Amino acid sequence: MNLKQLIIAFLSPRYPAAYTEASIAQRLNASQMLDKRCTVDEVSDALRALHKMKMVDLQIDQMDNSAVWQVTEEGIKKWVLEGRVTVV
Amino acid sequence: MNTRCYRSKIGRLPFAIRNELNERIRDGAQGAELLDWLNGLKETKKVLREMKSGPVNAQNLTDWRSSGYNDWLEDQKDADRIRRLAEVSQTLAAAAGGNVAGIGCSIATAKIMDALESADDDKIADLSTALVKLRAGENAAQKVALAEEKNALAKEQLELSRAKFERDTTRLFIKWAQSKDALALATDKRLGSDEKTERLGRLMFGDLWEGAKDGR
Repeated sequence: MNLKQLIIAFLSPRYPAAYTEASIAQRLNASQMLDKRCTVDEVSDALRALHKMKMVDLQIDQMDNSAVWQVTEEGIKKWVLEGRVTVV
Repeated sequence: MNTRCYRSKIGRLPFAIRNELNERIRDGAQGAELLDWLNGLKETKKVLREMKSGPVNAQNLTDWRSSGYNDWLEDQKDADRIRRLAEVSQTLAAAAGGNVAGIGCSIATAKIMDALESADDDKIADLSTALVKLRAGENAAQKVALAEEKNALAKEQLELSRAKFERDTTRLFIKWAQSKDALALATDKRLGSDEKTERLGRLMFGDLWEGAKDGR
């Protein structure tokens, strides 16, 4: 699975939870489901690509103006169709 | 996990086909039926050609049940567990005052999720029990508040009725104080209190007075 699929596999079962790019990178690396560790920048690029595909939504945390990401309904549909692989 | 690398015939099939195979096994499909379906797929034929191997057989399917299928079942359990935790987290975030549809609640949900995911199942069960009790307590408190509200309304209604009664009585007094007949009855020293009441009642209310006496 590639990084984009894993991001969907992390966010979908946790919906509506919204995470920062750093949190997502840290959790994906902890899961050891990637061949090599991912950086926050790589996660950020993948999230932006998913955003263009309408699979994730970008929101701003009003408390500290940080960006947080949440999976969309489209993203969840894709996750279900692909077998609900879950990043634990 | 489904990202594991499987080297068997079935393991080399595309992800979507392996996933459908797992779902069919879970739903109780029989071996022969599964083999017919699998071996009929062009993707399977392609993999078998590349492996220079014969069709997928019953032994391959048995091996898959004890490896890939078992892994897939575990993955489904993980997904269900995470999903349940997400629901508990969202409930907690909402109970803390978050707007369920708002991003603040989603961020809080994520933070609670982080905590819950690192907790063991016993602690999560305790938390769920506490949540149920909290909800039951809230319901009881709401019932008490509702009963108090009803009592307050009834009291207010009573006050209004009393005020109306006093106003109406005062108006009647003013009206009948100007009546010579009523004044004569009220001041007649030959009549007792009961008799005065009876006569004045008949004068003021006519037939209604008789009705009131009979309890009609």
